[in-house]
Amino acid sequence: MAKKILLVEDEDIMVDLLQRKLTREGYEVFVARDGEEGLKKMREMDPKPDLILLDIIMPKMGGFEVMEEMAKDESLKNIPVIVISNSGQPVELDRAKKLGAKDWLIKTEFDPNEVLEKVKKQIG
Amino acid sequence: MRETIKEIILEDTERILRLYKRVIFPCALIFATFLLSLPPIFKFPPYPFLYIILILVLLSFLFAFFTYTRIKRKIFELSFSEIQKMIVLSLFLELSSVSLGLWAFLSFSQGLSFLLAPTFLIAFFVSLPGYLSPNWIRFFAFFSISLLILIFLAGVFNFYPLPLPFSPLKHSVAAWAAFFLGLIMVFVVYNLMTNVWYREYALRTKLEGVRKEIEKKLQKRTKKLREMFEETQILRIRERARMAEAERRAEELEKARTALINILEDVEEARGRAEEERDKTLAIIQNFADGLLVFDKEGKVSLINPQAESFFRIKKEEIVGKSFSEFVQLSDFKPIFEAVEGELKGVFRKEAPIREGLILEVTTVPMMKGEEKVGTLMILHDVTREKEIERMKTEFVSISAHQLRTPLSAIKWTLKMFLEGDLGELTKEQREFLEKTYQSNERMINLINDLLNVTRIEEGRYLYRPVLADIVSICQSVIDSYKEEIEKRKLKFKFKKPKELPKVRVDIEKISLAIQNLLENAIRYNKFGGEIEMVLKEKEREIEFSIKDTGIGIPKDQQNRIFTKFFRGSNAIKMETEGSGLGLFITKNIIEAHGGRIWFESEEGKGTTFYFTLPVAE
Repeated sequence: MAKKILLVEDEDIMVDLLQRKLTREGYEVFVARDGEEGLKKMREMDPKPDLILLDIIMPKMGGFEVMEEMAKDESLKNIPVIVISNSGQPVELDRAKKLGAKDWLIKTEFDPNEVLEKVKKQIG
Repeated sequence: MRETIKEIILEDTERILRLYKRVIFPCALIFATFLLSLPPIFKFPPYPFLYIILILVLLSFLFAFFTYTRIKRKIFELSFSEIQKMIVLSLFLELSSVSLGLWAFLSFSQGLSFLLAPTFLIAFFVSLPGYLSPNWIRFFAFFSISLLILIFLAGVFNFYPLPLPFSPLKHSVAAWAAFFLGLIMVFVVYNLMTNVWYREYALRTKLEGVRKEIEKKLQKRTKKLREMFEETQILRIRERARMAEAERRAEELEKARTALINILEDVEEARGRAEEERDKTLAIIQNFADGLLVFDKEGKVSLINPQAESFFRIKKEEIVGKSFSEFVQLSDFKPIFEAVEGELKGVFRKEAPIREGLILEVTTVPMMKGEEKVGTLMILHDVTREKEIERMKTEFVSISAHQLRTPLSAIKWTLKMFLEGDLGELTKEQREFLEKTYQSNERMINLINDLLNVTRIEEGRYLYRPVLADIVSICQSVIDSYKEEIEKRKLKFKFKKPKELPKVRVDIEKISLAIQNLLENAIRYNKFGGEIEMVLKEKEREIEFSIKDTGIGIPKDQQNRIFTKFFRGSNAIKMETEGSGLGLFITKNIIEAHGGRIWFESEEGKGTTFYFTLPVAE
């Protein structure tokens, strides 16, 4: 059975690219366009996604808020999260780590192949 | 005393004068008349010297009489020694007149001169006791002897047959009369004289006694005085010694007093200084912008400054004396307690969010007095505003990064997918163009990364998390990421390092960036087929990194600007048009933020060596 990945990202092109890349690799990709939607989706999903790729700066609700909410939710708090962001300041990294993010990658410094590697590392 | 003696003398003198008037002068006149009438009786031719003697006797008496009269009259005017002299003189006159009279009588009455010697003898005896006898017994003894001699002589002359020329004396009535008359005179005069002499003697004795007594008293007095004097002297010496001692003591006391005053002044001064110092310290503590808490040895709060009071909304009285472990029960203090993990050990800038709108940074410093820990100083720095600014800055950078990077990421990822054939096969020409576009996009990404780094450097909080790290492995990983680049340019690369190097406390990401920048420069500005030598050395308490290239070098006139923001060497611009001019600026800031130094040696056209140091972790 294909692993489910929830991609929470507001940038269309990024969504397209990642979705295409990950789907080709055999993952089932669900997309949310902002934090609120992402949170809603992950709550609705059953079974829960195996991994969440989460952007930080998004409309309505940011990535950090999403993670905070997840931490409060028993059913969500154990889902691994990889943060994909354009920013990567130490403060942000630290905060993400505290909130339980498994990994962090900066979009400009990685390419889709590397994202795939990190995903594989997390869920095989 | 002398007056009493004078009175006695006066009394005696009056008696003598009375005697003269009543006895001596009549007797002398009778005697003279008798003598003058003798020649017809004895039918002796009168001797002229006899008259002379008689006149002399009378004159002697007269002189003695006048002398006494003078004594009597002037006794209270004359000095004592003058009276004495006059008495002696009068006595001498009396004595000589008696002697002369006797001698004249005897020699005349006998018509013989052999009696001359015994007469003088009698006179001598008669006169002796007056000078020698101290009492009546002796006086009588001498008197009796002289009387017996006279009687014997009379008996010899009258009752025994005498050979011629003594025989005519025998039955001469006139001779007897003359004899007795002479005897009376001798007696009277003698009595008178001895009386006077005695008085004189007694007086003298008395005087002597008095004198002796006085002398004795004087001696006694003198002795006493001397003793007293000596005693006084001793006392004085003692007194003087005492005085000297006292003076010495006083001097010592004065010295001690001065010393004491000096000490007091010193102490006062020291106290003043200490007070001043204390006031100063107190003023500093009171007005310190940071909150200060001082804990004593037992961990109890001994001091809190107003700033700290306002932080915790507490009054000094409520907290002073409380021990640190009690902090956990005080809501405002609890975060502090947690920040330092419940122990008063040295912590440095630990964040403690006290409440909404107040974040403090806690630093505790042990207060040492030599080796002994006397307490702990807790410094509470209000970082609320800094945190807010930091938050805003982070947000700003985050958003900027997002805004700037998002399109570039999209381009990057799209291009990458094209190039990897994810989106269908590409022609050779298409691939070349897309590769160039990809490179340009990468440069754009790097430039933006540099700009974001600069922003963060300027924010002053560039170092995020220094950890103990091995510098060799950091270098190695940087080198690894540039292997392809090095090979492509056919550069000879050497990495020299000692077998063992101490660890350094660094922010790995940042140090990697610094080394990366230097290596990139060494590669980029080297000549084709040139050399690069990276060296690590252990120096005293620090590690020295150097990277040497055989590149274009830095023009001398531009060397001092090499570390400034956006600066690029003129020869570098010509060689390589790309480059932000931020690499060395960032590198320098990274190194200095780690407590290291950075410098270089360069010669245009020959090459450059960059050096930096990092302190060894303790």
